[in-house]
Amino acid sequence: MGMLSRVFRNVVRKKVRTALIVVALGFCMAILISIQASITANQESLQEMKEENAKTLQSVAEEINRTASIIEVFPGGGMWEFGGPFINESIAYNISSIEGVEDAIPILERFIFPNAGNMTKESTDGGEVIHFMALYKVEGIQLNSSHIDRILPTKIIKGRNLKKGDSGVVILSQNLTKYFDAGVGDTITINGIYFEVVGVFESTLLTSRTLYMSLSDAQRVFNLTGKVSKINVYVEDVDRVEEIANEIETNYGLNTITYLDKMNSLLGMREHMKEREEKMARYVDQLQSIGLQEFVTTLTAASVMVLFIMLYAVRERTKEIGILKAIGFTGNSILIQFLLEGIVIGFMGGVVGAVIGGIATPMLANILLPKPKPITTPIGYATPGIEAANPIVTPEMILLVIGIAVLLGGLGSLYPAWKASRKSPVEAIRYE
Amino acid sequence: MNEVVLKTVNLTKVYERGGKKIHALSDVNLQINRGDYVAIMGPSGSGKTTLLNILGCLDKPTSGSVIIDGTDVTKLDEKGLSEIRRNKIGFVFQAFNLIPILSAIENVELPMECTKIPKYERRKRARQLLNLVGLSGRAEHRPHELSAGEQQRVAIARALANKPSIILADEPTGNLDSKTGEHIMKLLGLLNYKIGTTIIVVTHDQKMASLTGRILFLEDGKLLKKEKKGTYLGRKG
Repeated sequence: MGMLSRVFRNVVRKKVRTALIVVALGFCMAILISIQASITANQESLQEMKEENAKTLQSVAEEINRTASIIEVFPGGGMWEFGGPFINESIAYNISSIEGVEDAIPILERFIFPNAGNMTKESTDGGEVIHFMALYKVEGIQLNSSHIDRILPTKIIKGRNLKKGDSGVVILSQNLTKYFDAGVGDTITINGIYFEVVGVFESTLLTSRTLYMSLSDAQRVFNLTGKVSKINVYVEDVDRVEEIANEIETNYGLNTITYLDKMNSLLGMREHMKEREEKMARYVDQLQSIGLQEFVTTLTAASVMVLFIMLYAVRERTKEIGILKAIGFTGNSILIQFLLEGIVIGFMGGVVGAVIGGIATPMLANILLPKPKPITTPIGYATPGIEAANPIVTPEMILLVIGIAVLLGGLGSLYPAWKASRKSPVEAIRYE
Repeated sequence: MNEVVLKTVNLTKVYERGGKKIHALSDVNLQINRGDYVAIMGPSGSGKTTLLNILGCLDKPTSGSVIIDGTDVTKLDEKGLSEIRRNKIGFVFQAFNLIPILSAIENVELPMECTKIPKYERRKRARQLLNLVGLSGRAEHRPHELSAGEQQRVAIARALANKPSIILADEPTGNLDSKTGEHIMKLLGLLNYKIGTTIIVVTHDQKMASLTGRILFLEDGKLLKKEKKGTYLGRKG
């Protein structure tokens, strides 16, 4: 019969009281878990958002720099990508003869929709969301050009890239191999025309749902002989890009996008991302501040609860303390016994809290913490508003909360235990 | 030659109640020899329990000293007093004062928990002591499952756990019927005879006191000079 065994027996002696304190303490601990889990999840979400934004901006910036000497030429006006006006292929050859132009590659870029041309557009609290229902994108390229390597994907995983003179063949992004359920050597059908897959390339952010073929094949697929949707114009001297773009716009009535346009767009994108990050950061700050208040309140309530129950237990067991002293127990050993009882109750409360917290954290977090305010974004940036991240309970959090509960049990019983250890044996034995 | 195991010198205890001084004990000079079985008799309020509490280091005197086995316990700090209570004294209370959550054998083991006696040795000794008080079959029972007499026997076995020099019994028969009380007094006598432990019993019951070997009288906090011999002859008899 050791002290620990006696401690456990004393803890379970008053079953209902112990159960009540353990459950109450458990709920306090579950609240702590929920608050912590929610704050951590949102902090992580903010961090992920920042990292993702930085990555996107970097890859877009790299792409802009890489294509600094390219003018993208589009038909004048309208939603050109979704079936608007086209450019005559022959204009590409006229542009290529402009002084200072190295090459002009005609491209036919078309999206394949489940119901051709279907596109939905809706508005949410979080801003404007556009659903492009495209299944994939077909990019037909004039393969005779000397600069096709600047347009075609660079990382071929299987098979080969497209080359001059190719016809009736395609290369697929890695993602699209799943959609077509096809690989190198297989045949796929696009708008009823058969193509052989000769290569698979590594998907990137911009090309994850793209397949490439020759321009003439694309024109055949979409029945657009002699038409292109854009022309990539390669300028010999980067400093002359704006001048040549103006010339194309003036002489052919076409729209152009240059390095400067892209840079402006990038700045807009960056501003928008920054705004979202700031809103998310403000939300996380708000969570932390409210969470801290609730944390302190819960902790105080739990400590006071343990303190009162332990004080009551000490009072109730005054006579027992006197007996222990009379048979030779020291004040310190009595102090340790009561402290241990508090710690055991704290541990039980912590475990119950971990169980309740593990099950009810999302619900508790929903009740206890504010939701993010809707974010209004400028029309044109198709991004949803920020959302509260789902709280995730980690093993570290559970250990931390059990630790806090044990500490509370210990601290809450410290004063009652000290009081018990200081009792005069004569008075304690007389206590009824 | 008789060896003195317990001695008090001018032991005085004064309480203050409502600004009034109450002399619970006045200059008590007492000497108990090793192996004695002594009763201290006196009417209610004569200071018997106060004297026993001071002898047992549960309370401190206002003045005077208590010497147990050559040590002046009035000069000891709380830790030293705990040691004396643990190693030199065994208590038997009127209300038995067993720990309700522990079985009989665990109650007997309890005082040994504060010593360096190994666990298996504690259990063995507790069993022997329960045998000695005739409760070998009730070792695993909790106090509420035992009769009053049995509970007092467990309390006696617990008092003997650390082989004390003295057993102090405060009205050990107060909560028992006269027949059971007599058995308890005889059991104490038997233990004194077998083990040689000094036993001091405080009682107001003359019949119970007469079962000891020596009877002292306390009145109004003063130890009377008269002494009586009891029926118990003990080892020396």
